[in-house]
Amino acid sequence: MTSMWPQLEPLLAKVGKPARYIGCEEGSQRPVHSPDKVSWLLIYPDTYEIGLPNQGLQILYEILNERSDAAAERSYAPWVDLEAELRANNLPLFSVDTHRPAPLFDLLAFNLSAELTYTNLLNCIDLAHVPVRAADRSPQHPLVCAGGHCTYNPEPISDFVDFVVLGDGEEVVSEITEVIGDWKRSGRDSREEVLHRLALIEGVYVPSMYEVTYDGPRIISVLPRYNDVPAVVGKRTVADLAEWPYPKNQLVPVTEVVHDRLNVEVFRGCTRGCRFCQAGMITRPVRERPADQVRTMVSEGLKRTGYDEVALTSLSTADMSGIESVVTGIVNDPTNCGQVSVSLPSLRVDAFTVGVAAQIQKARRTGLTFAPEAGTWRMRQVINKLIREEDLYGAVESAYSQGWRRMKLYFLTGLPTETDEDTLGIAELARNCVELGRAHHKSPSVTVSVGGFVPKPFTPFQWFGQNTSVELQRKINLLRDATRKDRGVDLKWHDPKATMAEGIASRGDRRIGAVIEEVWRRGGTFQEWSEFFNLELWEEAMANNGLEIDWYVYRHRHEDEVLPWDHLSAGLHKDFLWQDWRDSLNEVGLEDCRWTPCYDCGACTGYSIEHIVASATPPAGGSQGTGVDLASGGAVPVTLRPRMPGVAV
Amino acid sequence: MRVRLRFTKIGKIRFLGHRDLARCWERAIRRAELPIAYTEGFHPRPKVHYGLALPTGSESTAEYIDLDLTSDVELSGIDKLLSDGLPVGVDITGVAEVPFNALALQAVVDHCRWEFEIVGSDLPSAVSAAETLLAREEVPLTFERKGKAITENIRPALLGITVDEDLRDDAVVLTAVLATKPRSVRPTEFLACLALAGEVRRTCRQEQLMTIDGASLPPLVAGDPSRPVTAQLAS
Repeated sequence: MTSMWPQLEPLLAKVGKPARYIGCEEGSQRPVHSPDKVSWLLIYPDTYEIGLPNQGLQILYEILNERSDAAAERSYAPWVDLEAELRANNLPLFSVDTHRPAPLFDLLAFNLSAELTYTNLLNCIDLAHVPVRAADRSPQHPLVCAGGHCTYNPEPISDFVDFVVLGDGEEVVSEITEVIGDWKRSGRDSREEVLHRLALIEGVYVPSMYEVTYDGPRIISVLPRYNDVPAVVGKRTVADLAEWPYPKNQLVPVTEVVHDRLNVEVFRGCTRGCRFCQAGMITRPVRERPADQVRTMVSEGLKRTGYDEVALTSLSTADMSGIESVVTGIVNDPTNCGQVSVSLPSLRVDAFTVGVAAQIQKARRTGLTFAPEAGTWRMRQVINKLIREEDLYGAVESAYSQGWRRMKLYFLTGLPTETDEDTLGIAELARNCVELGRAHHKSPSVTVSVGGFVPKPFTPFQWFGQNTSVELQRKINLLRDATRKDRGVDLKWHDPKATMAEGIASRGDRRIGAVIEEVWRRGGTFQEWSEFFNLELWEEAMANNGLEIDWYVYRHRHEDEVLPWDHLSAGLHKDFLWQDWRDSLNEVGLEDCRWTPCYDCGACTGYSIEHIVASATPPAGGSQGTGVDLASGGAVPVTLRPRMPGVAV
Repeated sequence: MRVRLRFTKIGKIRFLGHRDLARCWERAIRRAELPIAYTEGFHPRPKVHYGLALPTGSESTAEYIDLDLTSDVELSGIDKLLSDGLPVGVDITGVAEVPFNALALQAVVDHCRWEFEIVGSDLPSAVSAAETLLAREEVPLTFERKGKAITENIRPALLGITVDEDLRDDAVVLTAVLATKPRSVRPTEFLACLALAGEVRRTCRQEQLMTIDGASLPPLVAGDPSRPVTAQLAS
């Protein structure tokens, strides 16, 4: 029996939203399994609605199923009601494609995009009837691996995964498949042996092949246990996105999910150099997809899926060379069936970008979102998000004048060197944006969304001591009080307590594994969901394991400290990051290296690759510090009306 | 023109909700590039009309949808065009043109035939439960409406029950005809009143029916696209 469907059917009648467990997506596959194939179960350890649109998982799903020696299916974390039913009936986790039991797969491969899903990772391994600790597994158990941005510091989950992959997965999944295929053919004897062979693949890190030594709380060294295992594991980078036009058959779910639209990745990597942004640091260099390929993927994708919306995805889509002609081409393409709207999920903050958005959102005009990230020009120089006030107000003015009434502004609080003046600058910006809107509408509204900053590995802020949750709450309260009387400013914030837990996992070392396991054993799953997040579980687990939150989260690190991820590499030189950290504290901004000389961060030179951009000149119309006069940063344009009679702004 | 389609919802897709299925239809219509009419206004929506909602988890061989098109299309082949974009288990089994002034599906259907597969029971118990229920003069059912408990006699809505002579894979096969007017009796409510031990393995709506001159007729006869029955109802 390789399908659990008959056993699942009566259970699905009892649970909420059963459609998330049936598969049936357009584009889904029913791979044929056989002993000579390597079978992958690709798992997103959160709900189907959140996991299904994940492009990384879909890309690997297609690449693996194109191989004659592999079969790949998908699974997502079952919601708590189905989990209870599965456990009560002693049934394992299953794939949604053919409802094949998870224990029958050779690999359980997890996509880890957020640290707070770590307890769900353990839960899924356990539901797959596999021991959660790698050391307890036998050769007959599936291998457990993970990829995604979180695996740049996999130390907190190193007890639970057999191996992780750093960087782009397109090429490495094939190399892994071949090693595991050999191992299966040779009798699948020793787990140690196959892990040793996997550790020799570039970009694959096998935690159990490395020994960590400590001096008290400090790490002294992390050394490989074999001579041929690399001392430093580097990331994988696909040099040319044009060679990987995936997903070719994006999945179209039958039930509603987040980002329910066609997604076409227009470039990978970002060199804006925002210092808080891990994605921008670890995915360098910029690799654009050729505009013609984008157009083909969009028009074929729309025809095949029947979607009426396409998102052009990347870390900063307005930076794509010739973005304007690409989007207008899509909107005006007569071969697309019916009206199509294009969305740019990450808008750059300037009037040019809003102009593009206005052209393409003719059909359905949703809200606009900008991310100035900090409230004052000084603060934005510290984080290297070089948006001048005039860029933001220009964008906002442009948006209001073209019919938008609502906009959303994203900010971080708890940034290095942040003062109360910087925090209150957020309220000031929001207030001025609403003020600009009053010239165009009766009741303009600006939603301010504030997140607590969590320093991430492989960023210049990896040495920074995170703000305590008390301090973050104080800053949020400041903002709440400052905006209370402002009609039109709607303040939202993330729970600072969850920010603390994220901080534990983000820069933790191997000793944090015991904490994650304890939180999971005590029922702490779905920690990303505010209704399930439980701070006490994390605090008690830290205390029970003799670990200090202060040491792991709130402490500034020294230059000479061995960081838990120093034996891994995102291509960035540590001294480049340190210099950028010093520059940050000196409030020195760094321009985008796509259009300016190289800073030798290491991401290109170390891999003998380069930026792939169609245009060597920066995009038109003010672009976060590239090619514009930064001297005017912080200057408030005079067009604003005074807030109160007699008081100048 | 207005086109009426009859379709199935069988297999895994039975767990898909009504709203989600509506979104699948919209995408399938776009993919088929049918000249669908759109509503006016700020958020144009394709003009489609659905029949009675099917409870999530139930199967059906008799679902209906009406499509308003801005120009005439060839009816033969329309099912093939749409099928490519529809999930497995949703198959079009009938197509016909209906007049624009035909009464809405939800207005014309007044009873449905349901088939239940019940495991953990036996034929004599099923027959006896059915006979007992039909012999009662009143069958009170209590349900909640606007936060208040209301009790209604649903006996007039129980139009007929039959039990198959043979088991199907160990299951008793029981068919019930339930009225949808003035208030629809849900399959779960019917089963609660039937009070038969065992577990319902499968619920399937076999027909949605209209009463015309005392006869029960489906809104579109499966397999005969040429003569839509609703044409007679054009006012």
